[in-house]
Amino acid sequence: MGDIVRTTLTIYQNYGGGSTMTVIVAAAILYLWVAEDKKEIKVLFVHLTAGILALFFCPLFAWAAMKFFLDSQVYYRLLWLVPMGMTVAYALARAVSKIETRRKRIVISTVFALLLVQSGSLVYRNPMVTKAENLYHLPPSVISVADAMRVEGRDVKAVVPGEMLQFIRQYDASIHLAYGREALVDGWSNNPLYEAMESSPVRSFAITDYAKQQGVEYIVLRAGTPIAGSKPISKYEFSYLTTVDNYDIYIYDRAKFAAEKKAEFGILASGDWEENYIQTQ
Amino acid sequence: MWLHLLLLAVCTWLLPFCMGLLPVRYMKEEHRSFGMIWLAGWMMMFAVFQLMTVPFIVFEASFTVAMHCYTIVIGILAVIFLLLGRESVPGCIRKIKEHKPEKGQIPMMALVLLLIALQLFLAYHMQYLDGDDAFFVATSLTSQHTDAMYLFTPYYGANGELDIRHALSTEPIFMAWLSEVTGIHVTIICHSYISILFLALMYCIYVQAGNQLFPLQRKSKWLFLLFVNLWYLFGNVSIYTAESFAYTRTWQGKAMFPNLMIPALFVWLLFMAKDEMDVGEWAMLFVIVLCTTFTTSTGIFSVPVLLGLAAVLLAVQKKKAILIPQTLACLLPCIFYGLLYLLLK
Repeated sequence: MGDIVRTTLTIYQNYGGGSTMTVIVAAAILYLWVAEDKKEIKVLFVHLTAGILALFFCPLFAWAAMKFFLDSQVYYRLLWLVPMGMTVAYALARAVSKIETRRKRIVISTVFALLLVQSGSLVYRNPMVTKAENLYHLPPSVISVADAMRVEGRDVKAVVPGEMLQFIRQYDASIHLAYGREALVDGWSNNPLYEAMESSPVRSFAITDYAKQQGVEYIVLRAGTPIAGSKPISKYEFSYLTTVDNYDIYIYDRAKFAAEKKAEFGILASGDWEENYIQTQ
Repeated sequence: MWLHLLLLAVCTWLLPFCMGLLPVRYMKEEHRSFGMIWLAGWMMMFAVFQLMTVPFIVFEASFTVAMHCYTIVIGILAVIFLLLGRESVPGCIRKIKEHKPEKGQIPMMALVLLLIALQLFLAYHMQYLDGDDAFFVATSLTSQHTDAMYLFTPYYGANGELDIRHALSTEPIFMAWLSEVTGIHVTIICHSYISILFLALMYCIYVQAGNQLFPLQRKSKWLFLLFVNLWYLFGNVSIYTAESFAYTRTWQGKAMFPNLMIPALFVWLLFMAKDEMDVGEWAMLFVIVLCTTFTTSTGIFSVPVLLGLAAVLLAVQKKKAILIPQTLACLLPCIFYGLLYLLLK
């Protein structure tokens, strides 16, 4: 029981992210409880919201919800049932509407607006929010690499660096991957090819061997990735095809479309690309 | 390109408008407006999609067949709803004429509209590379590519069993339908168009809420909307908040749930609290509940909690026990999809 109480408290604290957001919501509910005279508003914005919060913290309810319906990872979504924005905005607008003089209304509105600005965090200041570079809102390098690998009329299988995993199939579903986004999330997958791809230096035998075992037709490496092993990648039947947007693409020599692709990129013979190769035993 | 954009306009403006006309006709006079028509229309489109597509998914039918059926049905329904509901239009026009903004409220109104316009502009020009898109957007694209729904893992493309955990919430397939009909890549639709459109729809819902909360004080309504704007803009205090989801994953069902469905349900709860439920309102409450299952499986469990508690509180406050069975009837979609999930799990 103590664990479930701690879990819900942590979820609640994480939801507010250390801001005063949840305090403002609580203050708004409290204000409406004291000041609101319309019963129909009070029942929704005070009793109902307080009821949902009470259920959220109720250990028995939380235990049942996490066991049967929502796991602990998504239990925070129960807080979405509290219309926080609507409640706070209504409480603030109501408080302002009760002020008699226009000048005071303007001053108090400004104070409330500054309170919201000061206590929150502007979404556009999130470092993850960046300027879009194309209509897909995807990294341009992903689009270039996918275009280079595409084979008209058939699917291909590739292995790509971690930073591309989440995006490449949003652009082109004909590109299958040896592993996907789950490799980035702890505990979701333990594909040895992912470990081999993300190690530094990359072992030429390991990545090509795992790739062949998993039917991979393209290997994409960050340009400049050091490659170590007794032989370079090209000696393990993966020929260098091209470099686009700082990514080196290798093609499996036995892939059905290998000759066609090599011709497209003007590759006449395989086996000569040994850049970044470090010979080891 | 113009043909694609025209088709997009038809699917996302004309169709919802036609689909909203009939339900709004049966709503109370004071609730009728063009905003309400557009909102009701979107909800109708989602609900019809959910009703039609889930059987195709469960029986593992092809994506193409399911989409053709939906296109035909929604097209026919739009024409019928337009013919039967066209009487709603004159009332809405009259309302616009009667409610011209007063001089004193224009600055506040302009500020709110400017803030909304800025957000729509930035939704197009800024990007947030969200990891969950590797599932949701890729599911849409994979459905189009494989002509199958929820049978291939979107993460890497392998064939597998029916993904029943997600299959009962058909929102990604709806985006794939939009892409299929318009011929525009689904990732462009989600990231560069729906991100704008659904933010606009969200504020349209808050306008309806403002109309209910401040029916006579129009200045306060615009102040309410200003605070809503600020709350949302500065609501990125953690990755979990509904406000963060509103901007960073607008096109995902789990962002639509807290930012479109929950505010819409509260608008309807306000109707209920004020004894303003007519046939149209009850029908739309049922439709919105159905839409919550369309957006995310979370809705199947949490909406009964919200509406159940609200119904009990309102029934006690109003001494009107009938509200409980009425609301329970509106919750049938959650009960149905919940049972279906348990059956197929």
